[in-house]
Amino acid sequence: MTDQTQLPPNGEDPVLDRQLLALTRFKPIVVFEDRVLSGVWRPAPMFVLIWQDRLSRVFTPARRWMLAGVASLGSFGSAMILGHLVTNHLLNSDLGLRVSSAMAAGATENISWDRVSGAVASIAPAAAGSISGLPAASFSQLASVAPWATLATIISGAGLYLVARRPARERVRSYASR
Amino acid sequence: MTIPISFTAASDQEVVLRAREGHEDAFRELIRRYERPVFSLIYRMVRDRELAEDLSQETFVKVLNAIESYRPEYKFSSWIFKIANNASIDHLRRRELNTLSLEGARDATTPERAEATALQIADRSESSLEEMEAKELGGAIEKAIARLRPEYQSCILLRHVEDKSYEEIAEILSLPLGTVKTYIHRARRVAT
Repeated sequence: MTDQTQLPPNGEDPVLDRQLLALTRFKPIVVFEDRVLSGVWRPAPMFVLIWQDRLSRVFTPARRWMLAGVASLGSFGSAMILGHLVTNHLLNSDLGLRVSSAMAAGATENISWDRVSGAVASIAPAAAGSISGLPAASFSQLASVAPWATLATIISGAGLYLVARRPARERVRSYASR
Repeated sequence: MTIPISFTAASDQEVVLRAREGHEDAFRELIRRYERPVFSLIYRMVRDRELAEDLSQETFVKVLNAIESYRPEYKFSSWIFKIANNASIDHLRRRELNTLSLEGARDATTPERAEATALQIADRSESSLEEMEAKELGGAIEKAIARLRPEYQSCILLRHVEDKSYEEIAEILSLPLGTVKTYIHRARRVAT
C-alpha cells in the first residue's frame, strides 16, 4: 500500500505552479459588510452569558419540563380550591341562598326571566344589607380574589395542557451536532 | 459615545474577544479580514457571483452569531473556512439533486410531454454580472479548477490561494492528512 503521507507536496510542474500562484481573491459587493451585520445578533453581556450557562446546566430540559409541570399543576389545584371556597362561602350566605332559590324558581317555571329579574330586584336591598352584615375586610378580600382565581384557573389549565403535550426530550439540531 | 478601536495590529483571537463583548467594530473587522478569502473560495466552487455572495453572507452570519462558542485554541480562519466549505458543498449537493434535464423528464412517454417538462432557457443577452463572471472565471486555470471534484477544489484553493498548510487543510475539511495530500496531488494532475 502506498504511504500517502510520502507523496510529494507539489507536482513538478512550474507552469501550473505559476498559474496557481497568479490566482487572486475576488471581492464581494461594497455593501457586503452591512448586509452581514443586518443578520447578526449582538451577544449578551458576559455576566448574563455566565449566568445563562450556569442556569442551563442546572435547569436541563427534562428538569425544566418537570418544574413547569409541577408549577402548573399546583397553580391549577390552588385556583380550583380557591374558587370552590369562594363559591361555598357565597352559597352558604343568606344572599347566595336567596339568589339560587329565585333562579331555581325561574327555571322550574319555564325560565320566567321576568320573575328572576323581579326576584333579583327584590333581593337587591337585602343583598346590600347582607354585604354590610359581613365583615367588610373578608368580603372585599374574597371579592377581589374571585376574578383572579378564575383567571388563574384558565391560565394554569392552558399552561398545564401546553406542558403536558410538550415532548420531554429536545431534538438535537443536525448542524450543531456536526 | 463609543470610541472606535483600531484592530490593525490585533490578532484574530483578540478581535474575536472584543466581538464576544458585543463591539460592532470587532464584527466589522472580522468581516473585513475574511470577506475576500471566504467569498473567493465559495465563488470558485459555485461559479455564480450572486449565489456566492448569499452563501458568504450565510457563512458570516452563522459564524458571528455563534461567536460565543468559538474556542480560542483553534484558528479562527480554520473555523470560518470550515463553515464556508460546508455551505458550498451543501449547496452543490442540493444543486445536483435539483438538476433538470434539458431534454425533458425521463419518464415522458410522448414528445408533447417531453417538451412540457423540458427546461426552458430564455434567449437573453449577457448581463453585466455574467460578463464579470466570464471575465473573472474565464481563465484556463479557473476552468481547470471548475472541472475538479468539490473536495479537490477545496483542497487546491485552500493550499494555493489561501496558502494554508496541509495540517490546516486537514483540520478545515475534517480529513486525514494523507487524504489531503492525495487530493492535492490528484487535483494538480487533473488540472494540468
